[in-house]
This record gives sequence, C-alpha cells and structure tokens, in this order.
Amino acid sequence: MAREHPLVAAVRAAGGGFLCDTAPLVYRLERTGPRTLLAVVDVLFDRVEEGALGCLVSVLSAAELFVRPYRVDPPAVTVVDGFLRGPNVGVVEPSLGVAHGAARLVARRVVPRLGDAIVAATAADLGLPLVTADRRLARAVDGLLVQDYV
Amino acid sequence: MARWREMLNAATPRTQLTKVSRNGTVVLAARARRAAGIQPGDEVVTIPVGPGVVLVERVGGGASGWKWREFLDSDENPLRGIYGGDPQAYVDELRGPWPESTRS
Repeated sequence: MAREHPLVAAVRAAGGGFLCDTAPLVYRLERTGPRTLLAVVDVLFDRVEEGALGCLVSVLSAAELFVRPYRVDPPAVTVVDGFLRGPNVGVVEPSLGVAHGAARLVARRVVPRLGDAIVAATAADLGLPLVTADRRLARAVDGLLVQDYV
Repeated sequence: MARWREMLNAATPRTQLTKVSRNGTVVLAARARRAAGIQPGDEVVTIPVGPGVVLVERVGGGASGWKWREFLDSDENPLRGIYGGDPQAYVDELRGPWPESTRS
C-alpha cells in the first residue's frame, strides 16, 4: 500500500476533517500556481472527493471565492457554488461563538486581520485543523501550511 | 425596465437566454450542464434561493463517474486563471494588508 501523503496523514490524525482557508481552495479551482503546491492541494482534495476526508469552509472563504467570478464570469459562479455543495464539502454558517473567537484573536493581536481571525476561529470552534497557504496565519494559530508539505 | 435591473444585468451578463414554457419547463444551457456535471436522464430538484433565482441541483450529488479534478483540469473550467494566478495575493487583496509589526 502506498504511503499516505504527510498532509493527508496530518488531517487524518486530527480526525479526518479540516477547515480550509481560501487560498488552497483557489489553487484547487483555478489550477494555477507552482506545480508542487498544486500537487499537494490536489492530494488533499482528491481524498475529499473520495470521501476519505471532509472539508469545511468558512462562510467568509465562500464569499471570497465568489467575488472574482461575480465580477468577471457568471458561469464561474455556478462552478464555485457546485464545488461548495459537492460531496464531503460543507460551508460553516456564522455563529456567535465564532464571532467571540475571532474577536479574541484580533483583540489579543494573535491575528491582526479580522478575515483571517474569522477563518481561524471557525476552525477552532469546530475543533478542526486549519489548512492554509498563509505562512503568517499558520504560524499564529498553529495551522497546517500547505507549503510545508511540498 | 427599471434602471437598477439594467445595471444588474449589465454587471452580470447571462451567456444564454432561455424562456420558461407554459408548464414551467426550461432548457438548461449546455455550458451550465457541463459545468455542473448534469447529464440527460439525471434527476434534479429546483430550490428557490432568492427573488428571481432558482437553483437546479442534481439528486444524489455529483454525476456518477464525474470527477471534480477532471473537470477542473479541462478547458470547460471557467475558473482557470480568473483569480489572477496568485491565490494568497487574491486573499490579501480582499482581507487587506497584514500589519508590518505583526509579520512573522
């Protein structure tokens, strides 16, 4: 049996579910960027599609994914929508608990940007690891940085 | 036509116009069907999601044998390159600059 990719193994070790930040989702959908990074993201999302892992997405990331498609290409909106409704992918509704968590992160200057804080707090609220392509955010909240698995 | 509607239509041009028939039948544009992986014979449900907006969703999730990865790699993927080629830069554009003092 082939050895499991370290990022997949890390997510599995945390229970099999993960909260995905926006940039890794963009890598998956847009198909651009460094080939090595794309390969890591694909390994993760191929497992999601197979049903081996579950991907949760903050409503903030979902909104961010829709911004550019709404600006330039309406059919692209349907693709993002379909992806977010796809098997083993779910969008997490906002909650007061996430609001408290995000506010604490910003107030304590752990994470300076509210958008990052909402994503990180969503992961914490669900007890899931955060998968991100933002080195600063990964360091601040002990997230899984995709670049570390290239 | 109300001005706001003209502005909305201009901002979000639709690729293909179709008409609702007397009994409610509509034709799904080929591009939309391909993008969604909906094939002839599939069962769908319609979900109203807002004034004038209805979502058509295939029953049972994705089409059988249809893979997201294959679709995303194909020329049919309208998302190819539209975020600008640097995903983190796109996110930074939306979330604003990371304050210098806290950069690690």
